[in-house]
Amino acid sequence: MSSSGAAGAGSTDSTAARRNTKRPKYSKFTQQELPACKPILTPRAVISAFLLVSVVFVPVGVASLLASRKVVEIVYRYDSKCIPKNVTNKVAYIQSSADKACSITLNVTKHMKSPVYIYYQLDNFYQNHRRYVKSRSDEQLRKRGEENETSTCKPEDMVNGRAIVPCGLIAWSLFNDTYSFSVNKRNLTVNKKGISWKSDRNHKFGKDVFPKNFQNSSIIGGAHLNESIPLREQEDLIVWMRTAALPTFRKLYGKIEEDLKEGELVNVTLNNNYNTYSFNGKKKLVLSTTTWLGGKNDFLGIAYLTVGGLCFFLALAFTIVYFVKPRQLGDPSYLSWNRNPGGH
Amino acid sequence: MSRGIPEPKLTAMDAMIDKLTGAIFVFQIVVVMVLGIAGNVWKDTEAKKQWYVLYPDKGPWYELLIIPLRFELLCSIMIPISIKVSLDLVKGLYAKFIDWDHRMVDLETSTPSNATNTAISEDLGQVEYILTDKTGTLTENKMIFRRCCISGIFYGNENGDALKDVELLHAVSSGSPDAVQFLTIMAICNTVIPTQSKTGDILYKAQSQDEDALVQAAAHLHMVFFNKSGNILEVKFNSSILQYEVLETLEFTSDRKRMSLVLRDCQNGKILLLSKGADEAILPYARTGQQTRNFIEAVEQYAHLGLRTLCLAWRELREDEYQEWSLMFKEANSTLVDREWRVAEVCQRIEHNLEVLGVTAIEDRLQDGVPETIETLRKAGINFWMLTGDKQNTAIQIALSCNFISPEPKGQLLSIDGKTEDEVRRSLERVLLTMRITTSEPKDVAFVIDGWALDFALNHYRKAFTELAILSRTAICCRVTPSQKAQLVQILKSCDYRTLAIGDGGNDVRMIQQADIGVGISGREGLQAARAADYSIGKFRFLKRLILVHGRYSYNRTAFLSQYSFYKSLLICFIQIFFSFISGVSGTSLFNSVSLMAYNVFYTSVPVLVSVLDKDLSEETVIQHPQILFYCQAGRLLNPSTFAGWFGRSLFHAVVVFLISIHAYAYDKSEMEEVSMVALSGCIWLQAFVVAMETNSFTILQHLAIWGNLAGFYAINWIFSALPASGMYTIMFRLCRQPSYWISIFLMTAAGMSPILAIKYFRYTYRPSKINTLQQAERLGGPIVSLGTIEPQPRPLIEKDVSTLSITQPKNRNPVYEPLLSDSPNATRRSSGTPFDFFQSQSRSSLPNYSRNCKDN
Repeated sequence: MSSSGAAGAGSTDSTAARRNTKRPKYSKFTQQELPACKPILTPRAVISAFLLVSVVFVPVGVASLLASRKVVEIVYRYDSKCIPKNVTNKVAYIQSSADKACSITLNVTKHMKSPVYIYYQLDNFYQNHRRYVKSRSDEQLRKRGEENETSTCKPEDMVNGRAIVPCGLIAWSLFNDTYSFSVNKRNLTVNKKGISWKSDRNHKFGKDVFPKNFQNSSIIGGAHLNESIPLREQEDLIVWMRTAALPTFRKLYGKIEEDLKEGELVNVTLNNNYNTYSFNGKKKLVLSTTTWLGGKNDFLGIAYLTVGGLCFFLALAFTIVYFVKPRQLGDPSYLSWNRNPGGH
Repeated sequence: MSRGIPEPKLTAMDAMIDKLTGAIFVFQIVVVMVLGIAGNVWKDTEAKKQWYVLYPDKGPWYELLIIPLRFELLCSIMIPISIKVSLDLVKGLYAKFIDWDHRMVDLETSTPSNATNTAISEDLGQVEYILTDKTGTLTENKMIFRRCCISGIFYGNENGDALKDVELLHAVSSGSPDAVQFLTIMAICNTVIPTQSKTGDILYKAQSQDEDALVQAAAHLHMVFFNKSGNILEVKFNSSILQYEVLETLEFTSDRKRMSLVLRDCQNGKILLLSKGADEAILPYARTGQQTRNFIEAVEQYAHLGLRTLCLAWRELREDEYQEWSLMFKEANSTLVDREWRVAEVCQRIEHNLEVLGVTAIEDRLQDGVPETIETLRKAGINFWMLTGDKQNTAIQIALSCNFISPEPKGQLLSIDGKTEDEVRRSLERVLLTMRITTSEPKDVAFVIDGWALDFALNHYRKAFTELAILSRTAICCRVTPSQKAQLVQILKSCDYRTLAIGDGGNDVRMIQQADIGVGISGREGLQAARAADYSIGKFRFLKRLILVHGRYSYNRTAFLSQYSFYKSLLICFIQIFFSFISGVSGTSLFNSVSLMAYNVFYTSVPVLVSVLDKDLSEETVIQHPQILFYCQAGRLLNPSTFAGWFGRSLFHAVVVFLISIHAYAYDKSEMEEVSMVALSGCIWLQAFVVAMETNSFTILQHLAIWGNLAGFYAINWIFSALPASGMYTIMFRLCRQPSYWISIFLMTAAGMSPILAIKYFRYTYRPSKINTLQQAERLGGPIVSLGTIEPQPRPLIEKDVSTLSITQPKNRNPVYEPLLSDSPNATRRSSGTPFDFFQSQSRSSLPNYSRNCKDN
C-alpha cells in the first residue's frame, strides 16, 4: 500500500534532510535526564541521622523541662469550695441573686517573680462547640455602623427586635467571676490593662462600639457590660472572645506586678457567679509566672526526651544489628528471579 | 477495515484507584454514621446541660440530621478530588515524555513515537501479554529480491544476492532466452504502475511489496518496466523497447495463490500467458513432460532459508484457444452469483500446461533488534503471542529467528490442527495434556494453531482453549482473520490479563482497539493501525523502551502519587475527626476553610506533582534487569496492602500531629486559630518529609518543589496574617515568634518520621525488595552483576515435533528469510483434492471467510 523508492537511490538523501524536522526538541527535561541526586539509606547515613536527632533532642528536651520546672504555679480549684455546705441544688444557688462572695487562701510555695499572671481555668467547657464558636459577628464588633449584622449570632442576636451588641453566644456567656487579692491584709493591685492581644484591641474591636441591649433577654448568660465603655476597652470580653480549642483552657484575668515571696499567704476574695455546675465543669484559679517557653507544661520536655531517647535507641539497635549481622548492600545473591518455575 | 467503536480504556491502576476510592467512601460513610450517632447522643445527654450552647428544647424535625451532615462536610475531603486533576496532569506528562523521547525516534523515517491516548501509560508497565502481528511488525516489510533459480541453474547462492551474481548478469547480457523470459515475467506479470518522476527516475506503485521487489530487481537487470498506458505495457531491455498489450488480468487471490496475465506481444503478435504464484499453485500445472524436480528442490532450499518464494511460468496461447476462453472469462466476470468462484474456475481452464521458468526468492528482513527486544520483554515476564495472516511454516520460521520460540531441546512446539471439529478437539486435548505435564519443567512450550482450528476452538471449545491460553506463554496463530485476532485478545482479557496488541496494518486495527493497549507501528502499510492505536512507534524495538522505561516509570509514579493523595487527605481528615472528640462531637472544623482549600489545592499538590520526575532505578538498570517489571505487573506498588500502609501512616501522623498540638498548646495557649495553625504546619512539614523520603532521585525541580512549597506555606500564611479582615490576622507572626511553635513542629516531624525512617531502613537493608537491591547496587557504584539468564543463548535451529525444519545451510542470523509458500502440512491439506477445495467448504455455513482476509504479502 505504500510506494517505495524506485530504481534510483536518492531516498537516503531526502531522509537525511528531513531528519531534524519531526524530531522533538532535545532538553534534559524532555529526555528525563536532569541530573539527580540519588541518596540511598546506607547504615552510616541512617544511624548518624538518628544519632543527630537524639543529640539535638535530648538537650532541647532538658532545656524545655528545666524551663517548665522553673515556672511557679499555684492552681486552686474553688468551684466546690465556694458553695455553702447546706446547699444541695448548686445550679439553683448559682442562678439565685444571693451574695456568692467566697474567700480562699493560696499558699505561695516558691518565690514568684513579677509579673505574676492570674488565670481562670475552666474544665469541661466547650468553647469549641460548633454552635458556640460561630456565634459571633466580627463586623459588628469592629464597626459601629454594622451593629445590625447579627445574622451569624443566632440564637443571641436580637432582643425585642433590637440588635444585641456584642451579639452571639460567646459574648453572652462571658465569664463573670471576679477576684481580688491581698497579702497580709494589704491589697494587691491587679493590672487588667493589656491582658488581651494588641491586634484584637486595635483591629477587631471598635473604639466607638458600645454595648447595647446586652444581657436583656429572658435568660441571663454571664457577665454584664458597662454600656459607657467601648468594646475596645472591655478586655475581659476580648480575652473571652478568643475561643479556646480545648475543653480545658485558661484565660488571663490580670497581672500582679510585684513579687510574691515564698511562704506568703495570698487571700483571695472572689465572687463565684459563673455557672459551671449544670455541666459539672470545674473552675480553678491559677497564679503563674512565665518563661521563654510559656507557662508550666512538661509535655514538650518529656516528649523531646522520649523522642531523643527513642532515636538513640534506634541508632544503637541498628549499629548492633549492623555489626552482628552485616548485610552487604546491593548483594546480587538476593536477586533471583525464580517466579516461574516453568520459565528459564 | 472494520473499525468498530473503540471503548474508552481504563487502566488497571485506575480501576484499583476506583476500588480504593470506593473503600474510602464506605469508610467515610461509617465514620459519618458513627460520629453522627455519637454526636446526637452527646447532644441529648451533655449538650443540654451546656447552657452556653443554648440548644432549643424542641428543635426542628431535621435536627437529628444536622450533626451527621456536619460530619459529612468535614469528611468530604477524605476522598481527594485533587487526585483526578493531579493524575490527569501527570498522565499528560507521561505521554509527552513518550512523544519527546529521542531514543524512540525512528531515524530512517524520522518518525517520533506518539502517545495518542494519554490516559493509559501505567498499563504499559503492567502488560502481561503481547499479541503481535508479524509482517511489518517484526519484519521490516521491505522485500528484497535475493536469489533465483532459472531453468535449474541457481543464482545468488554464493554471495546471497542474485543481482550481483556474475553468472546471472552474463546470462542476461548474452540473451539466454529463458533468462530473458524470466525477467520479462518478473517485470510485467504484476499490477504495478510505473510513474516517471521529473528527474527521470521511474517510481513504481505496487500493491504488494513482493511485486515491487521483483520489478525493481528486473530493472536492475536491465529489464526496465517504464510505462503503462491503458493496456499497453512498455519495457526497455538493453536499449530496445518492447511493447505488450494486456488482454486479460487474472487477479491474485489468496485462494488461487497465483496471478496471470494474458497479453499480446506487439513485436510478433503472439498471445502469451504469464503466471507467477506459489509453488503448489504453479508446479502441478506444468506442461506434461517438464521436469519440476529441480524447482521443487529450489523452493525447498529457499524455504528453509526463510525466503519467500514465487514460481514463474508461461505458455503461448493459440488465437482460437484464447478467443474461446476470453468469452467464458467475460461471462464469468459478469455473473452476479458466486462470481469469485466462477472466475477462479474459468482461470483454472487456461492456467495449465505451463512452461515453468524458475523460482524467485525474496527476503523480508527482520527489523533491527527484534530478537533482543523479545528476549528482554520475555524476561520481564511478558508472554508473546504471534497472530499472523501468514501460513504456519512462515510463522514458525520467523518465530524461531526472533527468539519467539526456542528450538529443541529447550523449547517444544505443539500443534493444534485438524480438518474437522472432532480432530481439532482431540488435538486440543492432547496439547492441553502435554501442556499441563510440562508446566513444571523448565521448558518453553508453545503451541501453534491455524485459523481453521482456531475457529473451532473459539466457538466450541472455548473453555479448553482458555485454559491452554493461560498455561502457554507462547503461541503462534497463523492464518487468522482480523476478527479472530480481536477474539484472541478478548480471551486473554477475560482471563484478567493485561494485553498489548501491536501491529502495523489495517487488519490489526480491531485487535489493537480490543486490547488494553494498542500499539501501532507507523510503517509501510500505512498509518491505519497507528491511527487506531493508543501508541504509535516507528520500530518494534522501541516497544522495549516503551514498556520497561515509560510504562514502568508511569506505573511507579502514579502508584506513589495516588496513594500519597489519599494519605494527605486522610491525614487532615483524621485530625478533624480527632478534634471532634474534644469539641463535643459537634462537627466543628479545626481548620478554617481557606487553609483546607489551600492544603488540598496548593500545599500538598505541588510537591507531589514533581514525582513525575522520580526514577527509582536508572533506565540502564531496568533494561539490564527487565525482571524488575514484575513489581509493576503484579501490582506490587499499588494494592490494598500498600494502601493499608499509607492509611496507617496517615493515621499515625494524624495522631502525632493532633496529640502534640493539643498538649503543647494546652491551657493558656489553647487558642483556636493558633492550635489550628500549629496542626496545619505539622501536616505540611510531615508531608514534605514524606514526599522527600519516598523520592528516589532528587533533581533540582524536586528540591524546589518540596522545600519551596514549605517556604511557600509560610509566605502565604504570612500574607493572610497581615490582612486585618482575615480570621487568622497576626496568628502566623505570633506563632513564628514563639519558641514553643518551632519546638512543637520539630517534635512532630521527628516523632512522625523517625519510625517511618526506621521501618524503611530496616526493610531496605534486611528485607530488600529486588528494586532496593538494584538501587543499592546501582548507586553504590558496584558492578551490577549480570544475571545468569542474560547471557545470549545459542540458537541452533533444531527440528520440532510439528514440522521438521532440517536446516541444511548455515543460517545468517540477522536477515531472516521467510518461506512464503513452502509446503507445510496445511498447504498440502488445502491443496489436496481439487484445487478449489476452499470454495466447496465455503458452502458449509459454520466456516468464516477467514482466509480471504488474510494478509497477502
